[in-house]
Amino acid sequence: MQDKIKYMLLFAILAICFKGEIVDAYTGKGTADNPYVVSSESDIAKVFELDKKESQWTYIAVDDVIAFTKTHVVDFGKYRIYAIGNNQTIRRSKKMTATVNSESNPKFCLKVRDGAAVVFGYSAGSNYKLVIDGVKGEFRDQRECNGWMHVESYSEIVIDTNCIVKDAMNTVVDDESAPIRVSGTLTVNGEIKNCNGINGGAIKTKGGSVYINATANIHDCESQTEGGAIFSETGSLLRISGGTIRDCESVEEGGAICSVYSRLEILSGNIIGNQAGTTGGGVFSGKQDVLIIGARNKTGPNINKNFAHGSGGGVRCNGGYGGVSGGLSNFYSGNICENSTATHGGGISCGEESRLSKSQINIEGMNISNNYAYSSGGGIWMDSTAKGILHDYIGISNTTIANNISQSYGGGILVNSSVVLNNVNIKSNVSKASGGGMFINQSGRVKISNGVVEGNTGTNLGSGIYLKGKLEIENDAVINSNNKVFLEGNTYIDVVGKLNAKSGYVACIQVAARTNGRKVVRANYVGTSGEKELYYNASAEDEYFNDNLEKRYKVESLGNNQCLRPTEKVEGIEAKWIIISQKYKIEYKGNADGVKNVPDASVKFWNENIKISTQEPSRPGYMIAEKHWNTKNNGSGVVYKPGSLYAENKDITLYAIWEIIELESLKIMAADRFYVVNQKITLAEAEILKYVKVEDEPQTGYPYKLRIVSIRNSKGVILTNGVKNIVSEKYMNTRKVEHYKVVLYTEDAIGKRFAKKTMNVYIMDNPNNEANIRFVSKEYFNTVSPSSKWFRQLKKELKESLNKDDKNFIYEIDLSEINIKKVNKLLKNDRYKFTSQVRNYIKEHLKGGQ
Amino acid sequence: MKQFIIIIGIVVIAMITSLTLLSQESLADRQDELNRATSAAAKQTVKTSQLQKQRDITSNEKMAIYFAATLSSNIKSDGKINIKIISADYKEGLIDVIVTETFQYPNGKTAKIKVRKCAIYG
Repeated sequence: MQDKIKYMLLFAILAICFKGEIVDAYTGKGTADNPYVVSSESDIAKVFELDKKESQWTYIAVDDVIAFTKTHVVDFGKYRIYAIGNNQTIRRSKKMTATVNSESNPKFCLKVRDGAAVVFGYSAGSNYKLVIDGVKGEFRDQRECNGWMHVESYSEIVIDTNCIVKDAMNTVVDDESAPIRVSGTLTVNGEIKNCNGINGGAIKTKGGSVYINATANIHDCESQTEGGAIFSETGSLLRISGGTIRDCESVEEGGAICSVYSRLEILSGNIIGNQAGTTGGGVFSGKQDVLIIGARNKTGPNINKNFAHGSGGGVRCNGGYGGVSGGLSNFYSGNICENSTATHGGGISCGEESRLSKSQINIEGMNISNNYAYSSGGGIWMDSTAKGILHDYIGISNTTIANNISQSYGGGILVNSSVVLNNVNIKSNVSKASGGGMFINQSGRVKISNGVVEGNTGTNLGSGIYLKGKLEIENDAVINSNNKVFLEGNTYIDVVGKLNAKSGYVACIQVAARTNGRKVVRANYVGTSGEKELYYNASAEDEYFNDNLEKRYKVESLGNNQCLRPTEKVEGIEAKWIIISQKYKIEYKGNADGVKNVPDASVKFWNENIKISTQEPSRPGYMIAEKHWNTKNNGSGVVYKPGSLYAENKDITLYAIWEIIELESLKIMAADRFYVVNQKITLAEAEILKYVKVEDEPQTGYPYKLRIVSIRNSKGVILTNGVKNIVSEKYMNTRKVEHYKVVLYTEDAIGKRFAKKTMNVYIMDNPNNEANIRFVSKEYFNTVSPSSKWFRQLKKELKESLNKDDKNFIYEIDLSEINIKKVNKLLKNDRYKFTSQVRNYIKEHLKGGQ
Repeated sequence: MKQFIIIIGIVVIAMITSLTLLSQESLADRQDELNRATSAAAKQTVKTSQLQKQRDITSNEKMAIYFAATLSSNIKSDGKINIKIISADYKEGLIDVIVTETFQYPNGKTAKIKVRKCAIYG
């Protein structure tokens, strides 16, 4: 029996020794080459208690699963802990009876304080992963759990690249609890996943510093309040230099990050696919927080595909409420894309100022694209109290705001504040209401210094810009013609600096009421005028003569004859506006046949006086009346003197009023005409009167009409007795020898003065029968006898010939004086016979024509 | 001396006046001559073309040459003559011509006169 007891005691001692409860089971010396190798909670606890030099790193290799049953406090030294032999785990004890899991007072597994430092998953230690496990699955039935680690002031924890923190949880609602609580410094190079917390799904910092580096990967964490992954408050610094924070979720603000009263720098990295129950789907920054997005060297983060039930699908900046909102937000570079919100500001929503803090924001070098807002501001939404950082106005520069969609106003951006856009492209955004590219609210004031608004669409009004507030443009501002600027109420475009566009529309404008006098553009800088701003290379004067002058502005759907005009000549409006005007036509009518020099129709514009033309028309036989323009052709209307001003806004036709010139004398000058028998000339009136003229005194130039009033034959018989409209060829011909006496008559325009003249027409005998040959010209083609072959058969050939000019010849012969003498000599030598010698000589000088 | 200058001046003025008058007369005379000559030549050409059994004008080209020969025989004044036959029909008896005479005035200036005649037979 005694032997049995001896063996049992020996076995127990050995067992205790092997379990390491009594003897020190760790090995090694804690150096990089010979680390402490630990395999139990007590091993690591003992190592933490060893005396060490403060400045030297102690290396701890974990070669088994270690469960922490109580809180371990590291308050001295620096430790680099890593896994060996395999991936290893340091976890919270699963025993609910363990001290660390106390039902009434759950505790952290690890606290680092008083300047101590701990690196988990030390990257140079091994390639195995060291898993820090919070075993949150063991906490059921609403049993409370505190966080895993707490890095206190002046101390540091590093989650290095070979460390995975998972399933850490905090359900205790107090200021000190969190899965990873930071008051000192936390650096994350490794992975943190599936953590749950209150005020920070994985990390909460208050007064501490958190650095998220390029290899960090924080994902699938949840916060019961703010900060799905990280909550940073009160004097903290959270700097993200890379890595990824994805698929995290907060019940309240900041799907990935919530930062208040602190400084948040997101210099690079990816914040993707996070979701907030209220505002800031990716990032919430507010309550006097300072937010930096991107670096001035043009590298920046990707804040993409986040969602907020409240405003700011990607980023909610200067947020907060109840007198503690506002902050300072500086966006230097980065992409904010494909985020969405159930309210406003799909990409960015900027909050309001408070009594404690201004709301200041500056945006440059950003790409804000493909975001969606169920309400207003698909890309950006600005509060009315937001201001710039250096100026009262918010600067947005070198930024693209593209392809964003809002279900309500402002597809690209909704502005309630003062904003200056410099080199900003607002393009291809969509508003399902109004203001496809930009909606400028009543309190909003936007200055486009350099930038293009193009390709945006709005379901209702203002596909480019909907203006309720103020819009200023200068330099290279262009609102492309495929985008309209809707001017609500009495709003207008203010040109505050010289525009550099060389051609094309600077803005195509829509207005609700297209009434004459509606001001649409103001020329508002020194040295300019409405005229200079409206036309590229023309003046207001040119528009009187040319309908197609190139203008910088256009108003859609203007009525007939409406147009844009500068106000230089408009009564009652300062000379710095461009308004909707209307063209009225002033038409001049000669009011009789044969009137020459009638003034061309001219144009009058709305409320602009115009001078009635002083150009004097002329009419043969008449002189113009002194006040010769009248609104009625019989002179009974309103009289307008030449050079007087016409002020009415309506079309007008003015008739010249004439007075006949009194004649002193009127004479018909007619020479006798001679024809030969069988000449086959039709003795029509035109032929008979060919050389007859009428002379008057004074020489009025009146086109007196001559007519034949009687024809007698040689026997004195009146052939036309009683005939009124005499057709002379009926009574006169060349068939036989005859002598006709033809009485001619003419009178002045009013039949007051007349003249008569008798002329003789002789048909003479033709003994040589040469009457068969006659001359004909284009003007008197109608004198060709209708019975001749040239009229009946060869009319076309003859007409064609007479219609040709000297460029259309068939032969050309040039003969010099010597040639002519030579021809004459040859002819004379052969008794004027047309010999082959003559023919050949002339042929030498003959050329074929066309 | 004074009288001598006055006499010289009067002589110069008289010469200029004479040259001007001569020029005007020359233009009118030439216009008249060219008009008559062209009319006569056209008439003669058309008439000849329609004579039975004639051999002088048996093509439009010969008609043009005949016209040129006849015109040459009617022109007495000096100057260059350009004849453009716009149309010719020796069978039906038609000739349509434009004759341009280029000459110089006594003062050396060049002038042109132009006549168009279209003569038909029947």
